[in-house]
Amino acid sequence: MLKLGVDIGGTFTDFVLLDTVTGRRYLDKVLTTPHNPAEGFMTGVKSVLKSAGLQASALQHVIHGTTLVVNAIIERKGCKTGLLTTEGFEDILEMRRGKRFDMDDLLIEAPPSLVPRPMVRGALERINKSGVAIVPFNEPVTRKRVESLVAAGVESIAVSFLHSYRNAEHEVLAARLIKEIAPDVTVSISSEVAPDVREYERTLTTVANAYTQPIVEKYIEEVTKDLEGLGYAHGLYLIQSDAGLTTGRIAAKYPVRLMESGPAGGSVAARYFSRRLKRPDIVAFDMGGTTAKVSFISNGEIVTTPELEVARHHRFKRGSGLPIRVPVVQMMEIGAGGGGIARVDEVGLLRVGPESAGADPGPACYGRGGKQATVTDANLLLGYLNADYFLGGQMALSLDDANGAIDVLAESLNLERLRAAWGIHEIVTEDMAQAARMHLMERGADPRAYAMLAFGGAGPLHACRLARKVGMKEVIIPHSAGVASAFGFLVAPISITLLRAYPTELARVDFGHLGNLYSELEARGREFLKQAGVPEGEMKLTRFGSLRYAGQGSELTVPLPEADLDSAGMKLLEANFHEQFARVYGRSNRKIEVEALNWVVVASGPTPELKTHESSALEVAMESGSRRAYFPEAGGFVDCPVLRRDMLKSGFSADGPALIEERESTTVVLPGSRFSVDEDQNLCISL
Amino acid sequence: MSTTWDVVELEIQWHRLLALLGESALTVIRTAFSKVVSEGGDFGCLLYDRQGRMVAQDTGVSSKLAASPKTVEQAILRYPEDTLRPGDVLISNDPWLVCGHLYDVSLIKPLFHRGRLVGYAECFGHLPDVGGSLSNDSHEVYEEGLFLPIVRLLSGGNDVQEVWDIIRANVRIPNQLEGDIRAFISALEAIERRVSAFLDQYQMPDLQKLADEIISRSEKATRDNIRKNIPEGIYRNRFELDGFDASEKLAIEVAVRVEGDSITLDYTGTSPQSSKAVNCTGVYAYAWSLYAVRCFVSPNIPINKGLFNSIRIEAPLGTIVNARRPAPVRMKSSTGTFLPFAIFGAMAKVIPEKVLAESGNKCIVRCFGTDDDGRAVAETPHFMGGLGARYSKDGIACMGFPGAGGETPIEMLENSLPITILRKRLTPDSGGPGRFRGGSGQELAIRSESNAPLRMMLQNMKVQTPAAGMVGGKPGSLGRNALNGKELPGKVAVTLKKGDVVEIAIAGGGGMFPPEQRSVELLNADIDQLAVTIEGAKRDYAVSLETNKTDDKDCETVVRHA
Repeated sequence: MLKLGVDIGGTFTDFVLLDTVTGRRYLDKVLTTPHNPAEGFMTGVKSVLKSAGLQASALQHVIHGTTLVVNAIIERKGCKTGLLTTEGFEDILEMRRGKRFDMDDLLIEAPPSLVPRPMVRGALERINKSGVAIVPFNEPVTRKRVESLVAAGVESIAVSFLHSYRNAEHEVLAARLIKEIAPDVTVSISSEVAPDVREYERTLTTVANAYTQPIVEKYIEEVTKDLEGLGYAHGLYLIQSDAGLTTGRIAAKYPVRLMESGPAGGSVAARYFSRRLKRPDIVAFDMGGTTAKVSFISNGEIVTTPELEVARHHRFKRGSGLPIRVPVVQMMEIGAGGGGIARVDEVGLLRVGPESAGADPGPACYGRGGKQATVTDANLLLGYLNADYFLGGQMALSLDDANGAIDVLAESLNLERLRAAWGIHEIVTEDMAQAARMHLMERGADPRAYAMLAFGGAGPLHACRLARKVGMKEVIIPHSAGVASAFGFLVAPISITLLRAYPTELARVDFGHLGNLYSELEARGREFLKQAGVPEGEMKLTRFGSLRYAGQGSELTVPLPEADLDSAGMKLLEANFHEQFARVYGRSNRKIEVEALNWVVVASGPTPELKTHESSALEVAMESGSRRAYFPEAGGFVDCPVLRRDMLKSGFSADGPALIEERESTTVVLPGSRFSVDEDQNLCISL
Repeated sequence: MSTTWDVVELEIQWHRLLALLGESALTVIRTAFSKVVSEGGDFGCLLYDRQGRMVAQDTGVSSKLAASPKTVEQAILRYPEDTLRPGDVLISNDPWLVCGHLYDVSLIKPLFHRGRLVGYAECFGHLPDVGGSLSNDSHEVYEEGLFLPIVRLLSGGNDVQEVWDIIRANVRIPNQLEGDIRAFISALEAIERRVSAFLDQYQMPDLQKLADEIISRSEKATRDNIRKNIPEGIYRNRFELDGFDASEKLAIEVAVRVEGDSITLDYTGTSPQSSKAVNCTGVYAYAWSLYAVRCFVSPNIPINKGLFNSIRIEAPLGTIVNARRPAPVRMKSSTGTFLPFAIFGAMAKVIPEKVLAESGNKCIVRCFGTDDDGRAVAETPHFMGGLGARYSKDGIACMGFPGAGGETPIEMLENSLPITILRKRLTPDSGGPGRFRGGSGQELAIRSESNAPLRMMLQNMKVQTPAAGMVGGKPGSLGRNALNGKELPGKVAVTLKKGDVVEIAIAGGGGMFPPEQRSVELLNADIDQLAVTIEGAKRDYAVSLETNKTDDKDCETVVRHA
C-alpha cells in the first residue's frame, strides 16, 4: 500500500511517501506557504510523486497534519464568531478563572478573548447539576437574540449552556434554531465539542472550535478537491492532537481537535519506534528553532492528557493562555530552541530564552545582523555545528559573528568566551532536563528504564547531554529524524476519544444513565470507525472513567474492567483506581469515597503494519574528516571524528566522541558513549 | 559574597530548587480534597536551609504568597535539631506564627540527606473548615476553631495518632481535612526525595553554601535596586478600609522610609485592634508588607530571605496590623490584604510606574451545609473583584490582588453544594474611571436548594470604602451583600432556607490618572464591550453623546469637546 504523510509546519512542509510492502520511502521538504497552505501542500505532493515515479492515483492514503488551527488561535485570525450562553453568564470568557497567574508582574495581561463581548448573547434557559431543566428553553426570547447576532454578521456561533454535559437538550434546540434562522452560519455546541464539567474551559473549547471551523472546512474542501484533481481516489485523513487519525469530514466539524496536529505526529513516530525497537518507555525529544518539546511513551502507549493550554499570551506563563479541553498528547514545551537568546539577569546570572532570535535576524552566526548570542552561536563555537554544512551547506555560518556576540555576553558576566558558550549550551539543556524530570517524577517513573528518541533540527545535538542529565541510558536518533512527524502520520491508527461528564460517586451510579451514556458514546465511536472504513471485526472500543477521591481537584483516567455496569463492576473499577492512585502518588486512601467526573470511550481501528527499509550489507563508514569540539569530560577541545549519516551502514558501530552530520541536523555523541546503526538505519547510542 | 561561585552552575542549581518545589506543588494540586486548594491553588511550598532561612518559594504552581518568616524559625526553637528524626512532620495553625488565622495550616518537615539534617520544607495552605463557631462575629480566637500549636504530626514516618484524633474530633468533615493535610505531607515527602537527589548529584553535603550564595546575591541585588531606583525620602499614606460593619472605621497609617539601600515601613498611627475578627497578626502583616515592597523593588528575583534583609517593619502591638493574643482573627485578610495598597498609595507620589491602583479585592464565602443525603459539606469559594489600573494600562476584570488564587467553577460548586448560581457577570461602570480604567467587578446571586439550613459566612472586603484611584484616577464601585433583596453588611453570616437568594457584588478596581485624559477611542471601545455605559461615560469622563448616520444606521459614539 502507498501512503503519503504531509506535515505543514511553521517554516517547512514535510512529506514522507512510503510503500508499506517494500518499505521503500521518499522524503521531501518544501517551504510552507502561509498565505495559502494548500499551495505548498500540492507543490510538495507533485514533487514527491515525481521523485518516486508514481501517479497520485496509486496512493491509497493521504494523511495530513497542520498548524492551521493553532495558528488561527495564536494570531487571532479566526472567523467572526458569536457565543450563546445561559442568560446571566454572558461574561464567562472575560472572567476566565479569576486567577492572577503571574504574581511577579504588576503589568500582567489577560489573554484577549476570541469572541468580543458585543458578540455574546444569553439564552433564557437553565439546566441544573442533575440534568433537570429548571428554566425551560425559551424559544421566542432566544430567537430574538440569535437574530441580533446574525444581523451583526457572525459566520459561526458557539453554544455553551451550564451543565449541558448532563443534558444536551437545550443546546440541541438552540443549534436547530440557529440553523433555521441562518442556515449558512456554522454551529458548535459544547455538549458535542467538549461535554466536560467546568464551564469556562468547556465554553472556551467550543468557542475555539466555532472560531476555526469555517476556515478548516474550506481548507479541507480545497485540498480534497486538488487531490482529486491529481487523480487521488481516496479520502483525506487528518491527525488529531491525541495522535488518532480522523476523516476530513470529522476534522472539519471538530477542528479544535487538530490543535496539536503536527507535534502529535512526532508522538506516533515515537510509539512506532518504541514498539519496533522493543523499548516500551520512551522520552521523545523534539527541538527546533524556537521551542523544544518533550513527550512520552509509557508501556508502548502515547501518554495523553485531557487539557491543553494554547497561545500563552503573557511572558509564556502557565495560565496566561487559553485552556482547551481536548484529549492531547502530553507535551512539555520549553521556550528555548536553537534561536534562544542568552542574557544576564538581575542577580548577575546567565539565562537562556524564552526570547528567540527567530529566523530573521536569527542567531549572530547567520550573519544577518543578529547581535545577541544564541544557543546556535554557542553550539558553533563549541565545535558541534559545521559552519560549512548547515542545512546541508545551503547556508554558511560565521564563526566570527558568533564569537563577537558571545564575547559581549561573556564580558558582562566576567567569564571567558568558552565558559560563556558552554554555559549557554549547558543551561538550555538543563531547562529541558527539568521538564523531562518533572514529568518522570510525576509518574513515579525511573529514568533509567527510558530511552530517549530525539528529532527536530536541534534535537540530536542536545539529546545525549540531556539524556545523561536526566539519568537515561540510551538515545536513539531514528531514521527520517528530520521529518519524524510526517512519518508518524503513516503509522497512526484511525481513532477517536469520546467523553461525557457525569459527576457521581461510584457508590451512587445510576446504572441506567451510565448505560445509556456508554451506548451513545460507543454508537458514535462505531459510526465514526465505519465511516472511516474500519471493518466491524477490527473495531476496538475501550471504556475509561476519569476518577478521583470525592472532592479532589484532579482526576486519573482508569480503564473500566470488562464487567457489567453494576455494583460489582464499580467495585472493580474502584479497586483499579486505588491501585493506580497509589502507583502515581505513593499512597491511596481507602477511607474516602471515589467519584467519577467523566466517562470515556476510545474507539480505534488497527495500528497500520508497515515494513521499513531492508538492511544493506555491512560496510565501513567513511569519515568526512574531523574537527575540534568541546567536551569537558575529555578535558576540553579535542579532535573529534565527523561522519556523514547517509554513509553509515547498518551494523556500523564506534565509540564517542563523534559528530554525525546529516542535512537537517547534527548528532553529538559524547565521550564514553558508543553508537551503532541498526538494521532500519536508526542511530542507537548507549550513554 | 563569594566570587568563586560559577554563575552558570548557580543559575542551574537555583532553578533546580525552584523546579523541584513546583513539581512538589503539583502533587498538592492533584491530590488535595478541598476546592480552595485544588482549584483555587491557595497553598504554598517553601524550602529553608538548616538555619531556617528561606531559600526558595514556589510561585509557578501554587499561589499563596503570604508565607510567614517565623513558622520555621519558631519550629526550630521548639524542636531543636537533636530532637528531630527522619520522617518527622510538624504541624501548626497558630495565627501568630503561621498565616494569621486558624484556617491556614503549616506542615514542616525536617529534610534529611544521608542521615544528616540539611534543611526544612514547608507546605502551608487554606483548609475549608477547622471547626469553631459558624459565625463571623467572634470575640476571641478560641471561638474560631481548633488551635494547634507546633506539634509533631508524624514521628519517624508514622502517624502520631493522638494528634490526628484531636484534629479529626474538632472539625466538621474530618475526611476532607485529613485528605488535604495528607496532600501537603505527600508534597513534603516529594521535596525531601528531590532535595536528596539534588545534593547527591552536585555532591553537596547540605544546602548551606548554596543558600549563602542565593541569599547574598539576592540581598545585594535588592539593595542595589533600592539605591538606584527608589528615591530617598519618607512617604506617608493614611489608608481607609472597611471595618467589621458600618459603625467601625479603620485606617492603616504607613510611613515608608527609604534610606540608602534599605526601606522601613512604620505603621505607627494605625487603628487599635478591633473587638471583631478583622485583626491581622504580626506575621501576616509582615508577609504582605514584604510582598508589596518586592513588587516595586525586585519583582524578578525569585523569593528568598535575601530579598527581605534590607526591609524593616515597625508595627505597634495592639493595632489591627499586629493584634495581641487572643484577638479574633478569622477575617484577617480583611485587613492584611490592604497593606500592599496602603504602601503603594504612599509610593505613588514618587514611583507611580512601579505600583498599581487599589483592586476590588474579593469576597470569601464560607459555606457549610448538608447534601441531598444528609452528609456535611463545606466549601470556601472566593469571588474576585477588578484589578486596579496600572501606569500604562487598564486594570483587569475579575482578578484578585494581592491574593493570586483563582475561582472555583460554577458547575463544580453546584455539584458539591446544594445551591444554584442564578447569575454571575461583570458589573458595568464598576471599574474606577481614569486615563487607565480599573478592572470591572462582578455580581452574582446564589440560591439555596437545600431542605436543611445552609450556613453561609460572607467576607466581602469592600462594601464601605471603594478601591481608591491613584494619581488622579477615581475609585471603583462598591461591593454589596443582600439576602432576598435586603441589604446585608459586608461581613456577615446567614442561614439560608430553601429558595433564599444571596446577592453579592464585588468591588471594581481603582483608576489611574484623571478620567478626562482617557481617549475617546478607548472609551467607545469600553462602551462596545459593555464595561462602561453611555450614562457612565457622560458622568465620569467629561464626554457627550453624538449620533452619526452611517450606512442608514444611527451610530452613537461619545466625543469630548475641548
